[in-house]
Amino acid sequence: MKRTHIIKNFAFFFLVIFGVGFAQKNPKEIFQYPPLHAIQMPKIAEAVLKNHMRLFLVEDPQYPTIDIRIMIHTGSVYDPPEKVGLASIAGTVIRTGGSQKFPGDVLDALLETLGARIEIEMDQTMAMVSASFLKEDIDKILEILVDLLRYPLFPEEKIELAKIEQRSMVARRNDDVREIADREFQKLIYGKDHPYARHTEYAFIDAITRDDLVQFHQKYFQPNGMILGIWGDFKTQEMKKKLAKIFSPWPESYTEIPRPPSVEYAYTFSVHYIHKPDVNQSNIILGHIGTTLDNPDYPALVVMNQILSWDRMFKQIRTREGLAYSVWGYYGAEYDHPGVFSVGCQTKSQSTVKAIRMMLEEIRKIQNEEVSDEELQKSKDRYLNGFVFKLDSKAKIIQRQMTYLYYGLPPNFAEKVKNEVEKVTKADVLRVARKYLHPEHVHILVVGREEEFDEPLSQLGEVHPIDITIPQPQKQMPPPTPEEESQARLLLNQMFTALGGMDSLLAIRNGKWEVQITQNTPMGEMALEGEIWIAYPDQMRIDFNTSWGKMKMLVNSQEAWIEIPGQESMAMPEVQANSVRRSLRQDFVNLAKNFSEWKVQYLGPATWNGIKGEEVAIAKNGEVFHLLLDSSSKLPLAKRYTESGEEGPFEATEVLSDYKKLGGIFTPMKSEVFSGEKKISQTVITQGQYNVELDSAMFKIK
Amino acid sequence: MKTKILMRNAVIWGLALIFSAGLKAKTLADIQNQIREYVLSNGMKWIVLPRHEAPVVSFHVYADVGSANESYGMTGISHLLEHLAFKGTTTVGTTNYEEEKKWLARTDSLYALIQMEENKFKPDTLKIKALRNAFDQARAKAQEYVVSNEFIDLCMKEGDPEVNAYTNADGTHYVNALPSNRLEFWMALISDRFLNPVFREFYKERDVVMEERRLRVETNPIGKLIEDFFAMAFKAHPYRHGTLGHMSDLRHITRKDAIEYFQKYYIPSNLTVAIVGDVNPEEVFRLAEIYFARIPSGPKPEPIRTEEPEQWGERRFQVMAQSQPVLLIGYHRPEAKSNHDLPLEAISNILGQGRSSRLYQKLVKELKIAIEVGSFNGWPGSKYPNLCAFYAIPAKDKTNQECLDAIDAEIEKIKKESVTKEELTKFKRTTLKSMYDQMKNNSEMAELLTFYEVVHGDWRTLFERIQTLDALTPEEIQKVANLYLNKKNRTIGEIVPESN
Repeated sequence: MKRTHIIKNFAFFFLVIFGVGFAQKNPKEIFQYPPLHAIQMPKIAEAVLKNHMRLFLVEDPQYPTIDIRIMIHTGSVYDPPEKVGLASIAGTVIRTGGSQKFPGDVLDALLETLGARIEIEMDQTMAMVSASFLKEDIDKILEILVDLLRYPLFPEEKIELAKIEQRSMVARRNDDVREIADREFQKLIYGKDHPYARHTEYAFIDAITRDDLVQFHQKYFQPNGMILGIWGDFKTQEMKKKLAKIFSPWPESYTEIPRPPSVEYAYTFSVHYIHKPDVNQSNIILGHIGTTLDNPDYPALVVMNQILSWDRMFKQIRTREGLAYSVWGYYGAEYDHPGVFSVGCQTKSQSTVKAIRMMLEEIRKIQNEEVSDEELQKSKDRYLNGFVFKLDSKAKIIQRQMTYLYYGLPPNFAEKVKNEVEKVTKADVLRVARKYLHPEHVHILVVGREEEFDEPLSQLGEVHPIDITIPQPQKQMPPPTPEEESQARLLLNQMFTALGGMDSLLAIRNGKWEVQITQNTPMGEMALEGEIWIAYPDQMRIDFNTSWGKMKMLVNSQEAWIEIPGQESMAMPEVQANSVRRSLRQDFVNLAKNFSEWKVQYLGPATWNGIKGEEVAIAKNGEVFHLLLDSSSKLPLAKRYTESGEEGPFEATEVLSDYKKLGGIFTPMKSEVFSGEKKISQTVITQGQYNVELDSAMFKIK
Repeated sequence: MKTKILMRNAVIWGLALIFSAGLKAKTLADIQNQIREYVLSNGMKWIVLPRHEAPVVSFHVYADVGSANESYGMTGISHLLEHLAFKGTTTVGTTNYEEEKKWLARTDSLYALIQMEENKFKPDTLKIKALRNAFDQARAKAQEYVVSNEFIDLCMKEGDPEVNAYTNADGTHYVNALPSNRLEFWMALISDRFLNPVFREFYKERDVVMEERRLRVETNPIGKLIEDFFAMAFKAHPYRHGTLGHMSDLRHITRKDAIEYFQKYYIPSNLTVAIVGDVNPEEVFRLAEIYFARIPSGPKPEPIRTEEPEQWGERRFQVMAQSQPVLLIGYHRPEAKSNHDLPLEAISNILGQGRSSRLYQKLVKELKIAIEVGSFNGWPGSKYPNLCAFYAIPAKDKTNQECLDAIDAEIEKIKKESVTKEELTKFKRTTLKSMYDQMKNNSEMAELLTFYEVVHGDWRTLFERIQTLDALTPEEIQKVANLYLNKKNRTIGEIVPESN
């Protein structure tokens, strides 16, 4: 044994023997901690290329690896509303499709042989390209990266694969109950069509073209505004030169940094329910809008948040009551838009309403009285003592700097918040609890099985059911031959003539009809009388005469409402609203007005429900419907389309008959809707007029 | 000409090996040389890797007891115990343990009486009601002395962002991360936890665990698939009953059961600790002696005697759920210590990890029948013979069967033709890179060290693996594929969509 080794051993055992007599401390004692070793803040080198691309570099020689992150100003919030999902598909295909020099499959094999990874993540307001590899591959990876970013191939095959993946994800989006709750709650807060909450659908996926992706890339993947960070085993000066050599040739181009969408929010109370018959536990989320990180009250909110979430929610609802495994409270603050304040848990069906009441109670409690000195101190200690973990690796430090730059926060933002947290008082916590928490104006969402709830959900307020049925993809039309297309156009032009002439149809601005509607329900036949007004192209109002007064229904492309006499208006169920909008889109007047936008195909002679005619298919934006035209008169005898019903989508056949001239237009006075052979409903027009005097206020929703 | 090219290739190949071997040897050997180990007189094993990049340290305590140690009527107890380990001690979590103790004992006796009455042929409901009232009152009395969640509070107060634990089939893991000047605090708190635990708030925590079961399994189609999969694949070995336990067992486990289980399995020779971060090993061992040597050693628990016998044929089952289809396949394979472990990892990687893997190329890119497909080992655990698994998420309107057929074809191919040298290189390099990634992270490294120490028998095997990696050949991989990837040896589970 070496001498030093013996001495070291002896010293060690001496310490141990000496130490045995040393009393063990009680874990609740006040420990005198030796001063914490200093955090070695790394030197982050910065550079800006001529094309305005910004570089951050940090040497980290611990392991023979290198990591790169590139932040790009784009994201899913910038998708056009009829193509939600575009950015996501673009991000995927830039990687899977590869580039001119490194096509997709070649790239996959090459990277994996090197043990390297390059991935692209498309978030709401940021695209992140990341690369991680062994240091000796730096030149190859840089060569690949710049080619991928500048010259992505976007091959059709990989676009199709990305679409298959997206469609499959749509089909699976109701499989996980937590996913349903999170997704639907975001829509309650931001609005179902808002960029921060909306999601892709089959129709949008179908509508996205290769051109769209190419344009997306052109618009957003420019060096101006890109932030590249690199850390690992290299020398700064050498790496700066490498990066400049690779990225400087990328010509600068003026790309406006897109501004993330704003959020309009009105505090309101609502209770929403999603029926999930196969669970014995409810998923509950309640809350309202949150704030942004640059809010001067953010540090106080951090402290309040910790106490509300841990000392109040967790300790009461989980530990004391045993009601849930996962329970949280979170006052969300985002970089560039208000986050979401939410409180939630999963609890057995039989304790659903109890849990909701308890969570609301905890929110009120933190507003009603100051937190204790102990709670305040513990919360601050937790934050301040844990601060060192924010800086425990060069990777974390450099990425934080990049993120602050990206979102326009000062580089010392974390420090500033820390200093403010240190000063937070009980009064501050009370003040922000009162200012920012609104328990009387929360959206409550429950996904569960109401038959087993401890109390009816309606005890909390009026319950709005949410239908999460996935809108089905329209049938894909095989592309028509030129003959099929021209034959269809000819027939349809003849149809318009038979109906009264294209010019007359185009001149129609609105219509009013008195109708009798009969519906075959499981309870028997239901008959209603009413009036229908349509202001073309997309507004409809229906007034029904019922025994308690007039019931009004209003539908336009944004909203759909029902007014029951003597009550407040309520949102029309999605299923019904979609059906009305579909009928408006497929209305003959609208068909005439938009005729050039529709794709058409002649399908030959056909017989529907015993009726003979000529069949034509009509498609636009993934929506397809069929018409059966009379062989001699060319009047439409029937329509066939996918209708949304209570139990899901079904194929409807609408038979049109009893044509009469109304104001120059041949109008079918009777329409009967079938599902297969089964008659579902019938509408008979008793009186009708076109282009009447209409007060636009009658389409306004109160 | 040919010989020149061959020679040149050989030189390049050789250089590449030497070059990369040299690189590897330099850094991984360095790390290995920094690790220190120490065993206390009571058998508790300590492994320390100093890393001074930042003044933080991660702690990982691995208790060598998991759901595989459970017997009928007690399933879920290892996991429940993990929850109870946060309830405090005779000091932490109470204002007066002497008083609290009396009420805890009273609560337990009343509970035993309730169970006894409920088990009778004709239970007296009035008597049960009265007993329950007394039980609730006793609980409330005990609760008066409780400082709820004080254990976690103490950790969080000192800045711990990671205080947590998890249980699997093989073991129970307790993690912490603290600023490095809190070393003695951790020693004091965690030693107290294993020396003087008090399983207070027992019945409420049992309720929490039942909610966790509802969350992870009963309301989760994939959770259901996994639970049924283990039951089907293992007819004898206790890997069959999953970690969360059966609901009926959970309803009947008592505090006494938990205490006995703890006393049996949480003996110091069954605990392994890894500490990675800004610490001095000598200081760690000194404090370990002071704080942990006082935990009395105990008899080593009897090892699990049941072995899973060979299957007599393929097993196949369905879970019907409101979900899109999912396919899961598992082949029986030996424990991690086996020298077939690395070849099986190579097979999983080459077949099912990454976009250039064979299954991904075939099912996702070429046939377009799946959106995700993969393979992994060590399921549900690694200590005993376990499963080499394959899974597929079919694309919309595609079926589990199509995916199964395609996976079968690829498995047959690998059995007939083995893998290429390029694929092996890919596996080796990917493994090396991911080792570096894991070592950069204190917590992950601490977990790795305990895993290799307990399951493989020596933490050094983590490093030795890289050498074994180099020696792997396509012939060996082919041999191993033919040994295990046979239909008779497998279980297939599917989620089948069930309409409303």
